[in-house]
Amino acid sequence: MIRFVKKTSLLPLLALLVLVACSTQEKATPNATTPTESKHITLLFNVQSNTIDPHTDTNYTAVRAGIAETLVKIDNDLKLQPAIAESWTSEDGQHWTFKIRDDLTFHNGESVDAAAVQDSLEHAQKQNPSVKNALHIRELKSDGQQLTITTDQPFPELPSYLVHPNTAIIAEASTSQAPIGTGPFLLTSFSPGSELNVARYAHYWGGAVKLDTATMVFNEDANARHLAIQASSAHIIFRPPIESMEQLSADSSITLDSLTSLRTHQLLYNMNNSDLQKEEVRRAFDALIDRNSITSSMMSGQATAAAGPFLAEAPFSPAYTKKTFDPEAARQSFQAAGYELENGMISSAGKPLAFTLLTYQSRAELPLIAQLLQANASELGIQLDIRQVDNIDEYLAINDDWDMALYSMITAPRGDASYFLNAAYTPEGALNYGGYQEPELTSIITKLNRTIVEEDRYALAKEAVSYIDEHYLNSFIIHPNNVVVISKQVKNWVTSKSEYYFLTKDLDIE
Amino acid sequence: MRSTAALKQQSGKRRIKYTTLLLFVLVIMVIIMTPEITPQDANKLIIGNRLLGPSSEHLLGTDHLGRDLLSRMIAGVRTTVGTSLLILSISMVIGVTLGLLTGFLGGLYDRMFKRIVDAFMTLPDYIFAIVLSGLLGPGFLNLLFAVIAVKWVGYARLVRSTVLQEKEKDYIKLAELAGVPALRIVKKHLLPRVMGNVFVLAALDLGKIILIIASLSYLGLGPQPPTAEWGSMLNEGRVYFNTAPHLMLAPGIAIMITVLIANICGDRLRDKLDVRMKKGA
Repeated sequence: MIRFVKKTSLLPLLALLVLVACSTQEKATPNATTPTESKHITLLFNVQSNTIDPHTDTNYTAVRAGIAETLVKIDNDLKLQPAIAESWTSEDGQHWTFKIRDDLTFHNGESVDAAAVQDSLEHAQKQNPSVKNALHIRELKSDGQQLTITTDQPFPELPSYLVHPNTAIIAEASTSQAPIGTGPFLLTSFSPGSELNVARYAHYWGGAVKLDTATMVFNEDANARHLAIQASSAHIIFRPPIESMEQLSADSSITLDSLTSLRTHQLLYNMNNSDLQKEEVRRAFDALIDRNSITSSMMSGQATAAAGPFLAEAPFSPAYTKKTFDPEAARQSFQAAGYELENGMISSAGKPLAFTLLTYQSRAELPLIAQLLQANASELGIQLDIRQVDNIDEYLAINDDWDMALYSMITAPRGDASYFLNAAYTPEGALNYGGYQEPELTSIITKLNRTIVEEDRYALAKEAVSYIDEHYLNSFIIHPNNVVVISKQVKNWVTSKSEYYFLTKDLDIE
Repeated sequence: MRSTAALKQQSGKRRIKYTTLLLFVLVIMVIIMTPEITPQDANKLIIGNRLLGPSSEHLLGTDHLGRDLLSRMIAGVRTTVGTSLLILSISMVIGVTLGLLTGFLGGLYDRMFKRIVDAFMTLPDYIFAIVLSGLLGPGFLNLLFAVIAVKWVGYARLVRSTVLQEKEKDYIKLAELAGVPALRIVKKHLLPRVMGNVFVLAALDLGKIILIIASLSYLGLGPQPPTAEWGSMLNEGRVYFNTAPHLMLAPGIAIMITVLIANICGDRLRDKLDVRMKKGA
């Protein structure tokens, strides 16, 4: 009897252990205490944001959370739409006039006029050099509700550049931790790297905002996001684990939204590495990327193999060269680059080739792609040391102790190629982490920047992309689908193709 | 005459003792014979085979990159337990050498050494190792350095205190009077005297070191991919906990059992070697 009691006394202990083990999960999920009388939504996003300053935040949190807005917006057909600017005109592509809405107020009650917009744009350029480099603004002038922008040279794509969340308009009284915007929601609290809370802005220019409050939680753990939607502690989650797709599809209480995104996962090469300066070496690494396995197995079909930076159907995509996984072709390319081949292994002056490959966790598939590439390279005797970093943009911008990096970005957020080409390949480009200095390519991009006629722009973009493609400046791997899981309680959710807009005035909950 | 219950208890204890000893020997043999007994290449990646369940070909199934889980578990013994034993040995060598020298030489050396040791002892093992690893960056050698940096102090302190007691005893004083060189006194008389205590501490430390290594690797600060290490395997399997729980369960259970074995062996060794315990018994 005593033994029985002793044995059964273990049961509560085990139950307690299970509960304790589960408790961390509860912590990882948002505290979605939905007040019954108010409409509240909790959204889980996969990338942490440590700042909410829209002018410097690379995660665009303020715009995504509906706190701040830009002069111009973009819809899901990649067409420009008026936002803070009611309309805009330019006759020569260099002198632009933007008409600011009359009925617009910041969340602190101040009315928005052209002078306030001018202040905000000047602040954005001062705070963020990449905004300054991208906008090419020579002069800003304001008169009542009319804002005049003069660019350094004809810049027909200026309105589409003003869609970028880093150009969001905020009041002068804003601080880096408390931006005062014009969006449907005003910020109530922000915990860096953890979550932000917003409340409805009653005087929103776009009309009545349906939700009362919303919480946006940052959680890099795909499993935790999945459990959160299952436990109903979140209403919308981004990027659930790929393996859970089948299970989620069978759940009648949720909707699974999977769209081909404008994002491209890519392999960056550091041009300061003498081996990687050789085109044949880059070509060889490209041949070691097994795109089909990545899309079919690793991504369970939730991605499209990428042959170039933009989706193949984009009007500015050229006919890309065919990319196939071919270790033999890789071997030949290494040989063509002057390396020795012995017993199928590549070496340089008798020593094996070794490279450092950077990756990061917030896109769960990137470390796996890194390991796949590492395994394929090791078959040729090439050593890839994988290093995982927390903030890839910050790391690439500051450090030069890497050779290759797996990176992911939205390459054509505004349906135009020039943003990516300028940012990633011009010597002063904000995303030119590889240190590309290609005079021929730069001259094509410069010509593209000055061209106004759409057809000519497409032709020049194709020329630039073909150059990148032929010289293997980067290896483009996949276009992952944008997967969002939405509770059926949520109404009017639209998965933004550009990934710029999450919390909108129409978003509602039953 | 002893009661039946006492006899049963004693036989149970003996059973546990021999089972743990057997398991410990098994772990050591796995470390030595890893390449011979690994059924498949632990790093061979077949992406089409990812997340397979247990089968005759893959007894524990495959991981998220199609690698044989059993092979990775076996390879992980060498990385996790082997590294722990290596760290333990290096920490012992450093700690014992410094403890013997400073304790025996005394004076300024000893005072300086005591201050350094005190400074190290104020820092909690885990936190100091995590901070150090974080500063040094991920990697096997950095992990080694970080854990040794926190572990050598315990041995040095123990040896020094024993030497301070011993050197006041007559047999050491007589040896000094007889003109026996200092190094010989240390080697012949003091070293054998301290080693019993050192082995007891080491045996009790092994489990802790295994846990520190696994924890640091779980945080991504240990050996980097594709090296199989139980802590990092636990972290990799976390993402698939819902769909493939065996990816977490296998390394988790392995860590638990190994630490348990190390702790039981440590306790037994302490019972055998610790003179004070014996006297008290």
